[in-house]
Amino acid sequence: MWNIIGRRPIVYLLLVYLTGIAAAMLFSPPLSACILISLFFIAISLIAFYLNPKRPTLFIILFTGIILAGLLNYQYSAKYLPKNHISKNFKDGTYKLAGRLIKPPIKFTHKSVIIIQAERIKKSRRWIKTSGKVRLSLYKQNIQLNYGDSISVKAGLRLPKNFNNPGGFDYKTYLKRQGIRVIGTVYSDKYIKKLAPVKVNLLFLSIYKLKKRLSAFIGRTYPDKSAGFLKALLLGERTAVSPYIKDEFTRVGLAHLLAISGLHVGFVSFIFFSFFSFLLRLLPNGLFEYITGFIKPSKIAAIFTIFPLIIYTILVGARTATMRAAIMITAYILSLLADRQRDWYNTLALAALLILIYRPVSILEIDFQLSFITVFFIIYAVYFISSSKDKKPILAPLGHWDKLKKWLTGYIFISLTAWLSACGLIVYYFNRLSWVGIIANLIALPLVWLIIPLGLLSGGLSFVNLSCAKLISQLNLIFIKLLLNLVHNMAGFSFAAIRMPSPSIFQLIIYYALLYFLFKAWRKNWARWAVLGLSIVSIGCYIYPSFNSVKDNFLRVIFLDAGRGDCVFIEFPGGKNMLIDAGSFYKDGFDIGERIVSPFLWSKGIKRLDWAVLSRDKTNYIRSLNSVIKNFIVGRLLYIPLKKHKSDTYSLFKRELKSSNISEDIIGAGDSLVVQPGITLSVIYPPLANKSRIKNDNSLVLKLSYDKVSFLFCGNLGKRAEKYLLKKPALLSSAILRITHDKKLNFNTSSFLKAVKPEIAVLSIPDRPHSGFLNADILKKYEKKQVKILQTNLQGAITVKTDGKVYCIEHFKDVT
Amino acid sequence: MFSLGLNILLPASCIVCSCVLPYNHSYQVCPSCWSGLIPIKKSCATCGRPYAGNTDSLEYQCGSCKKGSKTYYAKARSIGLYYGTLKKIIQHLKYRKIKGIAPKLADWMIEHMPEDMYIQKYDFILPAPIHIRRLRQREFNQSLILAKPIAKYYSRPLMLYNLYRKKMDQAQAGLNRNLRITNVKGDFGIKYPERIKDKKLLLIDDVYTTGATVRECAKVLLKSGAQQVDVLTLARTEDRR
Repeated sequence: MWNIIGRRPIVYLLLVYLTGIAAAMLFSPPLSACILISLFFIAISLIAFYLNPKRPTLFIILFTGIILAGLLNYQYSAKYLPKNHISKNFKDGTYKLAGRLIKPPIKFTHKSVIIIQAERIKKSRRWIKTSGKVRLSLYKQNIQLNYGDSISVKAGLRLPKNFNNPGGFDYKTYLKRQGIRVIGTVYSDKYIKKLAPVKVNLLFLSIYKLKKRLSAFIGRTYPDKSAGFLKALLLGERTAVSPYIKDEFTRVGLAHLLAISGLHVGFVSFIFFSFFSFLLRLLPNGLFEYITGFIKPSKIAAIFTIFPLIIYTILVGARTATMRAAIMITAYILSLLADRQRDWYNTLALAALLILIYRPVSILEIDFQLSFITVFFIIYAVYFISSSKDKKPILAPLGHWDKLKKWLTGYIFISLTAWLSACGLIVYYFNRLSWVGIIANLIALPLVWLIIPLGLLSGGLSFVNLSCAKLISQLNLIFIKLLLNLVHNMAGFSFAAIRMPSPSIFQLIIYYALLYFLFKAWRKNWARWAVLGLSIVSIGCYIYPSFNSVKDNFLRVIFLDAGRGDCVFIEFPGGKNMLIDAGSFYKDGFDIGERIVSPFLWSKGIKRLDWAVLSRDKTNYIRSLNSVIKNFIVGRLLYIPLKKHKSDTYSLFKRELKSSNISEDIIGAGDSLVVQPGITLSVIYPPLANKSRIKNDNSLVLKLSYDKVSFLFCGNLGKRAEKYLLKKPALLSSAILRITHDKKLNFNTSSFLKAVKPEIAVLSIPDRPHSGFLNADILKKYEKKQVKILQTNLQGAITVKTDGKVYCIEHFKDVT
Repeated sequence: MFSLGLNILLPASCIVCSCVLPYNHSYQVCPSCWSGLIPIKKSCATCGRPYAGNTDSLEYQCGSCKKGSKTYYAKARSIGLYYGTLKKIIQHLKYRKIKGIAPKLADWMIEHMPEDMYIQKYDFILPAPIHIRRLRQREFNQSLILAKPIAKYYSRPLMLYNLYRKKMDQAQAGLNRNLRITNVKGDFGIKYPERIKDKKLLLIDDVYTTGATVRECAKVLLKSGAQQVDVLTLARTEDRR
């Protein structure tokens, strides 16, 4: 048994441990039983193994124990909460809270975010002890907060909320995995009070202080754009980069440079290792010879490298990828010290195992998956190259040219593999495929090799001699500007990146299996057959949906949960589709079109929208629809007459329309669109000549009718519009009424409802406490008329499916 | 338990046959390969050249030594044949910088020390030096790490940094006999001749191929006043004189 396992023991341990985690996710058995059984198994097997390691049954017992340990660990970390946990001690509302910052604040353009470990909460005029992490957004904040500060704060606390749409990002679970179950907002400085300092981890405190100093130095010495880039590249301050640059880097497939990845930790360790080796090389001959009598000098350099490695890992914030790299490099250093060969698979598995023991839920995170799968394939490629090299004799002298050629092909081959292995998951999660990524990485990495050491050097020198440091910064600036310009130019290519629908998990697995067997097929015959088989399957996957696309007789209208905004997606029986608006959110910060609506459409496998409708002349709506238009092919855009705005949003929208050659139509009352026989979309408000100054009164009111079932989308209906509509009550009558509103529902509902005679009303209203959006009186009016009310903020996305005679309703989330 | 932990954390395979090492094995050659190391049983009394004859006499001399070719050293002995397992191990040691196996090899040398070598009688043990540039490349002197445990076992003092290599020539490996001899000519020097005056010295090296290196060393040492120089090497090539 050991003969098989012994080659890469930790790989097998990891696989067994993963089995445990998978079992926990599938079955979620009770906790206490698992603890006892797993401890029992592990103890027995360890003793037995020590006495007689040759028996395979002992391995089975050991593995059983580890499976259970994995299961237990996952269960514990995913489910267990102490009794006084803050999430059990509050209802949505404003509370006084005391706690400690466990990370330095993260700065955004319009707010900063802190994560505090809650210690006390004031409930009914009494402070009670509590625990758990709280994520607070601070607005208009000028107070200097640092890691370890004790603060008391008055904050509006709430549970994190998801947009409940199919294929949407699960923000709630995302936070939960970080241990955050409560979020909050602080609107002003006056609600924050610093308390007396308490004991904090001095190592962390000094490292964060160092980071602050370095960051300040970079901010002072470099011009704005480059400073932000360097801060992200070197210190992991991702929010320092302007969104524009971030977008460019994402487009060319270099986003991993801005999010500190394992690569950076590797770079930094290598730089320090070389630096220490260089110092040792400076030693006089006699001393060097003396040292070699006891230890290899490179071992000394390796030991010294551990310190900057640890400091840097903490400094950039120990995320999964950086922890992975730190563990792998430490294992590498150990292997140097122990004079062992290195098996990188084993080392990678070690990193995965440690991270999963520390935080089992990270297996579900993008960071973890992306980092490990990419590194796995890089190792795979490296071994692939070196296995062909091994056949030559050890002492085969190579010329300089040959060496360069070999190094260059290796470099290209490995970057290509890394790109291929990353793009599967990136398409799956981000629906983005960056073609120029292959070339961009080849060019950018050597530049980064220059920028990081120079940045470190100038940062280090800033403590000694400022003018020297500035000189080096000037040199570094040349390379940074070169890189930024390169990225800017490459991002300009229209084919640089494409957006595409998410593949299924099955397709993803086939993709990676194919990648794996492609390498094997180089030498092994059976792998060629595997590649052939997988290719056939993947081609099948590509073709199958077009055969299978259900052309049933149903019209599906999906009301998305897109905040308080309107967003309706319609699938017509013939296979065509239409999007009415793409939601809206608060003025800044969150791009709902990009983050909510596009992922929903991608998850449905949609590449093309036959019609897109803009029903309101409001910047929020224009912005979010613009984001959607960018990501999809749009057949025809129908929109309300737009007044000329001065805002950027408006000009960006116009530019996008021009560049993407979308045919457009301005529509008004009286226009109608016959989608197919029997299905008509008609515009009933506003008349094109309407010059109403109130924007809400100027939103489109649309009626979609399919045989006997009709829908009324009445946008932001105001009083004036209502008056106009009530003149023609015959037009209004519909079974399903859609109402959204940014302000209070203030129109005279009774007579309107009388005219529409709806059976169902679909509402989208923000559910913030005290917002006053939902007036109980109005709801009563609906109840009186026996109208069933559905709310997207409660039920998630709501789908109405109809064949023109009857309809049925599905919602994403059950109301509890 | 420590070896088990190390083998799990940094699994190693046998550097000779690349099989999986037993779980409690601490060095990187598997037991079956290790047992494949062949010690030299019979050799020339002077130069230590192995032979396969029937003579049991300790006085046997090879043809070349009988002819009286100048060796400088009094006698040379090698422990194993530079062949198969041992050859692979030494190559790993020298060119792949896998140093961990060296103490184990030194133990093996002590175990199979020829009967006519009385290590106790030497005043000093000298590892064959390598040039400082080579040392900076390789980061250890393979002769030194072999000599250290031997010196410790027989409790003899090591003499370091006295005999040194002046020139960095082409590596001996891969050269033919004549080139090897001219290659090392005048390579070695002595820093403190007074320390070796009238002393009996044992020179330890890793491989004896043509003997050019050790002969040159012995020559320099004797010139500087050493009374007697003997040579002990880990391995000896089969027959390339």
